[in-house]
Amino acid sequence: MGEIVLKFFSLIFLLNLLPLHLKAQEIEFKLINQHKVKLKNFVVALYPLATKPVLKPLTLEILQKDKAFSPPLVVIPSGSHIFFPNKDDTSHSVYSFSQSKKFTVDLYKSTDKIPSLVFDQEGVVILGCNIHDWMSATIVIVDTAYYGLGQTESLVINDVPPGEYSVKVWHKNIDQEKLLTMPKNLIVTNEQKQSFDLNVEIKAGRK
Amino acid sequence: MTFTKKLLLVLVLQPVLILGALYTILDSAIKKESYQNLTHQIQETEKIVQSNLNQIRHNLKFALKLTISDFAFKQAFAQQDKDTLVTISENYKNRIQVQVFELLDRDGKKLLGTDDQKDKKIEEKILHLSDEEGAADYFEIHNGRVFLYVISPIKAPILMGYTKIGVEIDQLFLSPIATSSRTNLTLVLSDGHSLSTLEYFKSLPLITNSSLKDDFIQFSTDKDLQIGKKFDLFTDSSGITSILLTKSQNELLGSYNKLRDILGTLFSLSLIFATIIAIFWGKGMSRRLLKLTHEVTKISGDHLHFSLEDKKKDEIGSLTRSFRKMTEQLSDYIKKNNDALITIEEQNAALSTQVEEDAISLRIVNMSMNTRNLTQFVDSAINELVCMKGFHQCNLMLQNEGENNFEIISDRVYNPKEEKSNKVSTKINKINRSDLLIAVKCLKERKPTALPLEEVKDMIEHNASSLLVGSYLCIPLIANETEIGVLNFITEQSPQYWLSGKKLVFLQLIAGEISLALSNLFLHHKATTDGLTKLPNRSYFVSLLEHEVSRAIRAKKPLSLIYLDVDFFKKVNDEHGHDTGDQVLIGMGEILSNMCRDTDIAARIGGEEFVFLLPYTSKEGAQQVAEKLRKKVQEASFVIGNKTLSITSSFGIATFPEDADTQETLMKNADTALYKAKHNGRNRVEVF
Repeated sequence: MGEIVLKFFSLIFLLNLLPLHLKAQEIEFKLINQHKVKLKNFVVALYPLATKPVLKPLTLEILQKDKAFSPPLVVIPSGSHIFFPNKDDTSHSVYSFSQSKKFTVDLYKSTDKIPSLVFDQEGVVILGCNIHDWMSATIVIVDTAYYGLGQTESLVINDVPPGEYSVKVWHKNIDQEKLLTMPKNLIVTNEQKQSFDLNVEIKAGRK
Repeated sequence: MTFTKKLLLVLVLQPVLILGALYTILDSAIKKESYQNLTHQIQETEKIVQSNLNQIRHNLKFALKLTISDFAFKQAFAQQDKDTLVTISENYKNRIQVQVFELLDRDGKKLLGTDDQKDKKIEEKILHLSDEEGAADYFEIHNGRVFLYVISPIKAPILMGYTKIGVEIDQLFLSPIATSSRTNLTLVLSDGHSLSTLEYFKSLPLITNSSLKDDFIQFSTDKDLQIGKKFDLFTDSSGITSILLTKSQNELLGSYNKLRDILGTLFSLSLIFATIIAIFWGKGMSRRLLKLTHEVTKISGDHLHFSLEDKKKDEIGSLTRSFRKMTEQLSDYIKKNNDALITIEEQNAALSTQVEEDAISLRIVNMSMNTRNLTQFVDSAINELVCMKGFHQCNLMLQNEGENNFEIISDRVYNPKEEKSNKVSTKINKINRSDLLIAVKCLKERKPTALPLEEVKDMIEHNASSLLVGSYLCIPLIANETEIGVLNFITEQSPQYWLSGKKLVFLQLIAGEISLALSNLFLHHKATTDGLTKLPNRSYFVSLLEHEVSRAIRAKKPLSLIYLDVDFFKKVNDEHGHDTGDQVLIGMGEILSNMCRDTDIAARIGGEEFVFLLPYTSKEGAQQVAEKLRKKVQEASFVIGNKTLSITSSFGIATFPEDADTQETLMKNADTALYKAKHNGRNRVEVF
């Protein structure tokens, strides 16, 4: 039963992505720190100032596999539903002490029922496993439909209607637990390709 | 160097030097070893301290890790559930026995703890000190107490805050290490509550020792030496906080020092003992040696006495005994030598005496044979005797008719101080009473008498020499059992000298010779002399004439013989008796003797016939002598009793060789001439 549901949602997800590509409107973001270094693994979310965008909640999985969360970083619109399947032989738990979603899922095995949670409040949720301290995953929850996850130095968001947007960014070294609202708003035009450099200040990296 | 000093040198100085050197070497070796040992032990202790600190760190970190991995704790911390946090904190604090348990938020602000001060340095510390788990440890001083803190981040899974626990590093921590390693551990703080490390070390009475390694220090306390090392715990703004690790050298060297002291005492005692022994022994030895030397030095030819005795059975003892034996042998040898010399001397003396005596006796015998003159012989013999060694005076006393009738024939004195020719002088003393008594006694006993000179007081009066001590010797002269007289001597030798041994033998022998000679002389005298007139008798005259004739022949000189006869002698005899006749004959003998020169010989050859031989005299000379005689006889008055007689005599002369060429014819012719004088009227001289 779960398998069928998973396949169904995956199909929807893929169908949803396809038309964006086809529209071919591309807004590229680069996150540059004070040292003019382009950062990776960052999140950019665009909040239209004029209208309230229609959210499209997602259902997705964060696996616990090989004693690590996979993927370690996801960005979701609020109201999305996340499953935490255990793919290891050991038990895992999932917890969060973050403001936007505090929860604790007690230890469960791969054979147990897959726990799932709905994340409906904007913010950053840091997941942990209370028996494997090093395990960590970050869920960035945004209240907009225009967002993206930059795994490389460049992040592209498609199908953004022209207009003025407030920009929020997240990077581990800016503030691990919060989205940073950029001081300047962003004007999106009809141009096919637009590119923005976002200058941020990061904290000194820890060991 | 004396024997004692040598002994001291050998028995004391040498051991002192050797043992001193040995002691110094050993002492320095042990001290060096002890330094190494000490430093090594201190280094080991340092490692233990280091290791203990690491262990504490590790334990704290481990405990902290356990604490912060507790999900309930994380949950409480995340939810700022203070009640739960306090409970958990207390629980852990007791369980892991720490003095400090603090919770800090991400900014270092204390959530739980003694005060609410913000630990601003927390992030920096975490940044600089944290390990791979994010934990950090560091030292800090609070109110004069040193704490070791461990800080660990609380992650859920991102950093939520920090846990900070601390234990005090105090003597409680150090004492087990100190006990097990037997090292003194002193915490030296850098903050204001205690002396600064620098000041502390400056306050120590340091001793620089080149043998110590650079990071070691040496300092002395009362009666002790300490070696130490500074173990730096941490540095803060006020300086360095350290643990001072020190070890007492005395403690390490305690047993060694004790042994050393015992050995030192034993050594000192043995040295004292050795010194005493050396001095005692040395003095004893040298005293004995000195004694020996002293005694040996005294040994000389004159002093061969060795009185030292040493019965000890060692070299000096045997040396002493050897000296003693040597001296005795030497003494014996010298004595024997001396005895031999004395014997030789005595023999020599005896020999020379013998020779002298023999010579004397020979001379005396010779004299006795060659002289018929008694006085001459006796004089010569006495002369010989008085010249003998030690003789001062010698005389011969002849015994005449009657026991006490003695006559000194010869008396000679020896004067050693006089010239050679005058050494012997004649001195005839009267016989005194002592002489007489001694002589009588001597002859009576028929053995020599020796008396001390001083006893014979009379002798002193007529003692010719100054001799006061000596002997008066009296030796009897006896021949053919007839006492002749005595020989008297005054000698230097004592009576004992003479009376002991054979000293008198020679004198007795000489006395015998003299006695014999005298006896012979007496006999000769008797045989050749006419008893009445004391003139030679007819037979003796014949032998004398023979002798004189041969001499006259040899000398080619004339020899005249006078025959004389008393006229009418038969008539005198008949008228006045034979005694008167004898007196006339004696008177005739005296007249003839008085007229007799030394060379002339008067003799009675018949009843009233006499001869008068005149050697070297011619007929004319003889005529004159005869005429003198005739007158003497004619003029002589013979007083016999109360009567006075006058007589005459006749003379006949014959001369050799003119009247006769033999003695027989000479006598016959002289008789013929006498007959002629008788025939021609008597009282006259006729020649042949």
